[in-house]
Amino acid sequence: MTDLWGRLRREAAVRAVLLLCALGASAAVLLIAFFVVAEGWPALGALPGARWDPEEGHFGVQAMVWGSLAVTGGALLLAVPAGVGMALFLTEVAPPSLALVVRPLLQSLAGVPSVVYGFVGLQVLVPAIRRALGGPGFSVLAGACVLAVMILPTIAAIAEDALRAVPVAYREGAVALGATQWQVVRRILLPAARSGLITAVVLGLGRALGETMAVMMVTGNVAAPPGSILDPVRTLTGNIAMEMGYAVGRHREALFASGALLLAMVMALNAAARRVGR
Amino acid sequence: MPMRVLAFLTLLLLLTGCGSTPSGLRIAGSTSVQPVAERLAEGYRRAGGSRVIVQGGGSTAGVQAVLSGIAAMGAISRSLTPEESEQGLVSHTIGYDVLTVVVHPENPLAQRGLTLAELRAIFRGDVTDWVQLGGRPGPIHLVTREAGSGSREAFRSLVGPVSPRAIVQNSAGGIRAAVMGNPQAIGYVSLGVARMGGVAALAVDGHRPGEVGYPLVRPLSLVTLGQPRGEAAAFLRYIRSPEARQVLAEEGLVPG
Repeated sequence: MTDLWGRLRREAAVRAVLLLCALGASAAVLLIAFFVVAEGWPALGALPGARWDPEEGHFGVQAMVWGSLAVTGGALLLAVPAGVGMALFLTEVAPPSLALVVRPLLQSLAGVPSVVYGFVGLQVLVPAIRRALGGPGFSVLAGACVLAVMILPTIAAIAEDALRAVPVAYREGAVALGATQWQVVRRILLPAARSGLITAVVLGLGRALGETMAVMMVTGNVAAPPGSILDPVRTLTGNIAMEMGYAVGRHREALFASGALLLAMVMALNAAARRVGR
Repeated sequence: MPMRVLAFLTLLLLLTGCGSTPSGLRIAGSTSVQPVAERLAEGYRRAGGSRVIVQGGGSTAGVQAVLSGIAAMGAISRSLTPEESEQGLVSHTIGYDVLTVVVHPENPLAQRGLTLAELRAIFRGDVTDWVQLGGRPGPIHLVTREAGSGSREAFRSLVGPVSPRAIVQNSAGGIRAAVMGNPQAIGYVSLGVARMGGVAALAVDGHRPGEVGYPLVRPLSLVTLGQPRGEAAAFLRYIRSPEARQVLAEEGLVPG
């Protein structure tokens, strides 16, 4: 009897601790959102403008929104096919011994600090793009490439989990009906793993949109909408990181407001992707 | 919220700091002077002087801090305005910051240099191809600093406005890296950074950076209210010492 009571009490204690953890995490998110919005509130009205020129009192972030979307979109275009392809390779094609070598290598990409990616991008990628394709090298393309490598391990790892979760019976059934391996992948695996694959894309997208340091080092940070993928751009995150150090008054408020905008963009994209996934 | 808390704690620290070290010297002002001043403060302390607290905020904030008695000395990277001098502020130049225009070492114009007028036209975006200046054909890639940076402000006041199409790097090292990797790029850094190599420093109006007559020079000064006394006077004496002049030279400043 006493033993049962003890167990119930322990159970209740664990429940309380878990609840506290969950509440703490949600409270942190809400507090951050509240703080960013409160600090940026007075400047929210200035954000829709086309011109960012804090020295002259213009705080329009249109160009930076396009910049963030262009770099993030480019990164997804590169990283989603590559990441899903890698996941398919690891689950369907590679012999287990090879997968055991490839997987840790891929995952170690996630542990490289972003400034290292930025540095390699600055020293290798930017001059290479300038020589091969023209323009200044600092470009949407450079930012997208660096980001693609950064989000690749996230996308590949989650996509792999999603593919592994597809019951083996599905594969066996399809093969028994005479489907080729490509038909199995296209008609059975990808549709069955759809929701997990979309989660992979959403997490990659969130990371890409929020990444700052590496992108700032290779995109050239020109506050104008890009005309081509070889043009330099400035992202919302790069803009905040670059100018926060000196900003006072309205300028500082505008940077907080663009932080709030970024938060809203990530939330909206997440919600949209969840809906598609269902 | 965290910012507020941080600001409050900082203030608390500063206030209590004031009480416990009445002999400390506070310098506030230009962020361009800050790194040099911090190194000088370190040396001063090692040479037996008291603690020197160096804060940023910008030249004008530094002047205000001295006038209101919050700081004993203000750091400025410009000259005092006549109004400021009338209020009894005295400036003591500690050295000259040499703004250096840098290009890729393979750029043919590295040998000839540029005139101030050419420089102005290049950075405004009126001259867009190196061939217009007698160089190898190819678009000019401008590299500048971010809004709020002291170097950018100095460049604006000494040369002129910079095209909004210029590539922005948020450190002098970033500008150097961008110019090192691009034969068509042009940017500006302080002389100390230019001397780290990999880039060619341009002569302007026929004068090499650091020479007498080089036009892109701005005085970095400390200001006091009236003639310096006590700690402020001692610190200024230390700045004239050979050891301090060595520090100034290492930071790319030409001693005043």
